Amino acid sequence: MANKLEVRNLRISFRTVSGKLQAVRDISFDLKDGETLAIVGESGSGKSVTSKAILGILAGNSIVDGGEIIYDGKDLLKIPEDEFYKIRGDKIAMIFQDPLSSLNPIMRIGKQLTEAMILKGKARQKACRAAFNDYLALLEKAMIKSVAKGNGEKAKILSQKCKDFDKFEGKHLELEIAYNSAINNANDAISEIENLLFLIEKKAVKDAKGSLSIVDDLALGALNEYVVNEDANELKELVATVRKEDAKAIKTGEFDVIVKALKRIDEILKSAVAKEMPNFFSMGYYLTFSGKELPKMPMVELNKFLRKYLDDNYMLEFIDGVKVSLKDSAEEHFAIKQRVVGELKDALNTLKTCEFKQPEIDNIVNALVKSVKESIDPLEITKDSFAHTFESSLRSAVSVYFNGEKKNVSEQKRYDKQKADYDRKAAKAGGELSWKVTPAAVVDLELAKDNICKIISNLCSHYEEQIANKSQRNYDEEAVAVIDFLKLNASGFANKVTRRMAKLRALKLMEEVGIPEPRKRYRQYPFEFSGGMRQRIVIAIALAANPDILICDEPTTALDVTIQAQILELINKLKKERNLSIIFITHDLGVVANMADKIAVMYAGKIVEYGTSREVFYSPAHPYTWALLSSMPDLDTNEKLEAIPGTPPNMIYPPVGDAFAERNKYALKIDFEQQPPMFKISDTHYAATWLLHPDAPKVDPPKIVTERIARSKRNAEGGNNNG
Amino acid sequence: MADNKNTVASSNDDNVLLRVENLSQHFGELKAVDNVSFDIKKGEVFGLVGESGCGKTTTGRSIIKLYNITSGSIYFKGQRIGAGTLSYKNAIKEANEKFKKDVESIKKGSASDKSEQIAKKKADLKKYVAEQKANIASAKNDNKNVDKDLITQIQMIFQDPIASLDPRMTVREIISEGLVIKGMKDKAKIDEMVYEVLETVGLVRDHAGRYPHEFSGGQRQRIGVARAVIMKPELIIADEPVSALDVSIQAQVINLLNDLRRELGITILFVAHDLSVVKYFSDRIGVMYFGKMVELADADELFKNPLHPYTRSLLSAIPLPDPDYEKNRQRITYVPLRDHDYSVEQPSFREVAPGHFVLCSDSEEKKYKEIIKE
Repeated sequence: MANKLEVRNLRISFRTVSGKLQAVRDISFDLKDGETLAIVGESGSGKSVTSKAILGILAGNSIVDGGEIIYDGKDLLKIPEDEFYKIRGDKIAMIFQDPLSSLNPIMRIGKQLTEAMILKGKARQKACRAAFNDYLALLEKAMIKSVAKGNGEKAKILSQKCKDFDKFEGKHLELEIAYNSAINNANDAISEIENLLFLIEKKAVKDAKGSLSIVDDLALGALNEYVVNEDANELKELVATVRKEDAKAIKTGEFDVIVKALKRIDEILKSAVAKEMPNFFSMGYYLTFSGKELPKMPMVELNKFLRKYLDDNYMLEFIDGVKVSLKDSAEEHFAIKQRVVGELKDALNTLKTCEFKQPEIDNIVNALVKSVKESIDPLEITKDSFAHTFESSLRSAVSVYFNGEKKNVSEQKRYDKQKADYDRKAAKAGGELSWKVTPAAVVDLELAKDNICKIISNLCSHYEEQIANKSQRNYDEEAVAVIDFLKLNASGFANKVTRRMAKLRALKLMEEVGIPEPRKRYRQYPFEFSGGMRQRIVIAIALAANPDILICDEPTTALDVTIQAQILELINKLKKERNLSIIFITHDLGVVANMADKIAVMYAGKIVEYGTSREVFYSPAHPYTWALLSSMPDLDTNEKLEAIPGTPPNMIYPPVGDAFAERNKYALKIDFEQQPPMFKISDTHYAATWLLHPDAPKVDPPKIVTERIARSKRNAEGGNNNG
Repeated sequence: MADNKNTVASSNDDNVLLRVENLSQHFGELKAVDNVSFDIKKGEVFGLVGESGCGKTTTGRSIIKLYNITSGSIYFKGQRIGAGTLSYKNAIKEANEKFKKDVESIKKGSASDKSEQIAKKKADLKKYVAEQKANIASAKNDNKNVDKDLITQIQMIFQDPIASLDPRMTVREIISEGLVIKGMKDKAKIDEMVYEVLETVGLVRDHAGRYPHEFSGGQRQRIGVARAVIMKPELIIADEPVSALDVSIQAQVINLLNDLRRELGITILFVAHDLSVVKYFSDRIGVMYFGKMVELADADELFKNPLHPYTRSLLSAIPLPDPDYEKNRQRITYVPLRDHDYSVEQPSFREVAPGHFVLCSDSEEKKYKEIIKE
């Protein structure tokens, strides 16, 4: 699985009247494709700040002290706002905690739901069109270079092939979109009919006219050459019958005729849905270029025939061309990478020995950035995050160094002066004063220098690794991936989002998140909804944009159990369907057990424990995790709960040692003096506590936790034996 | 109406601190609470659960007379403190209609003493209406002339510790407000009581002079508890007191309430939606669904033998800190139309096992009894 999002050494603080508050202190984690990462901690632990940083919506008084958030080859902390606009809400969406403040009170719910879909739909169309055109142009150039090799005739054929791709891809999508909408309508109609038949049977139909007209519309929407074809006329007649009879039936309460018609419609639709799906990609090519009608044969054989036609006339040659040009381009760039590795090594040596002066360093940086840019293969689809973020990371690290050099002197002066002042007054008062001196914010120049070198050496070793694994690249697979990439972007710009479509999708989403009578609710204002309903709207808005990464900031804290379970199931279902990656922020460990693949426990701006869900629940290692687990009752708890005494520390003056030491009854002496490093427990499980040090005394977790784990294990075994 | 009266355990022992009889609270068309009955015994914690909008908060607020109830009666220590009139008014309406129908059928009939029969019916009706009117008058009287001292023995803790404390009052003023309203004037004594109660809830004397914004969420909720406890209440209505708090702070507040209950013998009506917390904290639990009480039993019994399909669906939705269990958890959904057939028999609230009440029909009662036997 590839990393979708990488957070490296993130540090964020807030400027406040009483000093600099360190909210996030050096955290790192990865989010893989289709994975859920849960961040657990109490309020003020920095979990929401982290998620807001990913979305680029930190408060105005925030300062990013360092680190990187890498998504799609970009460092989100360093890109400009207009670029962020394309990512936020579209690629990365967020479900906010407070449904009261995250909805616009003077806008109808429907408008709020569709607003983003329509806005982002246009932006996405444009972006996909651009990506498609750019890549096809690059491919054309590369193919002419490495396949035609100066042969003018061949070059012409190749560039014609690329143009053809654009053409028949358009036809393909036209067919496929019509088919998909018909299939969706058929599926919706089937479930509506089932629902309606159930209600009629129970004599509990409320809005018969409305429901029947919805069914009619949906059933007619399923008319399509490849969905309901032979039975189209019968279906039309049935719908007409229903329309004719409904008024009478509602008046008399006799639904027999309608029930019969509905059952037949249901049958027709079910058989239509079960049909084999045509291969529209090949069909698009056949219809565009063969100039003939489709031959009459069963769908399975037709698909085979079309596939063969496409392969013989176009695809095999095209893929070959793609393969050769991918290989050539990669070889060429490997040579450049080899050269860049040498340059990077030279630069490292120079930096280690030379004196840091602004103009010289700038020259080195500029040269490096230029050659690294050259070494990036434009035909690569998955962007190399190291190479792409190299420039921004390096430049910011350099500016940290030189700014620090300038400011350090004055900052130290200020501190010395205030400290002298404090000491004098403290001596007078005979003891400590009620205020403290803000520590000097001095940049450690050696560390800054190390950071610069580290960025360069990281890229260097990354490239060396790539070159070493050169022979393992599979160009066949990559060529297929290229075709898929082109298809994906083409579907992106062909899928227009109209107001009507947006409304239909919004209604469906409202139903999915469990809002009854969505058609009526669509036109209401937020104040007409209860808290739980409002939260569901917020969730629907986040899902509407069909994001890549979903950040859930305590999405179900305000909801009751049944709705909470519904929403969590919905999020899990969407995760599977759309291969979503989710960051799930909560303070409720019960919710996490259901959702998370990995868990990061945060306290006072640091990750104190990190592991898979099973590891954190069944073998927790950090005392804070123990405390969290033992302070919540479950259904078998009878003894007194072990509340965590006190409150989290004031992060304007972060403790010298472990931040949790003061509230921790297992704290060792060293916990108050020195921060524990992350100890590795297994390949996936880490915890920052001195208790894991080989010299530490052996401590068992509290009884309430060990007992619960033992009980879970017993239950699991019992369940297995039964099964 | 009459057949509902004996649905709750009719034991009239002195142990019952609060009795709610056929409580209904309608807001126009919306029946927020509909014919709910239960007892709370002295010294117990009675949990009330259900999804949002099911009327559990409204029940709590009706008891403390934040609303004028529509129908039913509320008895506290044997005295009626709240009463509604709708049931009596409906009874009069029904009687009038019945009278009209009877008269017509008599007129159509062939009996010789038509006028006598009608006169008799009329007399009956008059008597019945007079009875009901007396009931209405007594309900109105009880509602108006409640013993103030009695009602201060019921206190409330609110859900949101930020919104429920006046930001412009010091903690001392907030906590002592009830005493001042009650007419206490001796400043020194008030201060003494405030200090004492602050210590009871785990705060210190110095906190009395501060403002609410200077406290953390857990501490604010402690102030809310102190404000209730200083009135020396017998019954505290805790409306979701922990759901706005962090897990670690939740435990502090639950432990505090537990201590208060043990040391001061306070009875608590605990309204919440977190079932794990309710199970841990309550002796008996009532489950509400759309304004109706659907099941009521001892906490352990309810979780061991949930009978009503809604209770089952509720229990199956509880998330637990146990990944293996969570992977296999099957949620049961509740669809009233599918799960009950009330086209023939109407459900009522019945005792299917000692102390275990369920809203069910005759056939369901039989089924539930069999389940319990197993």
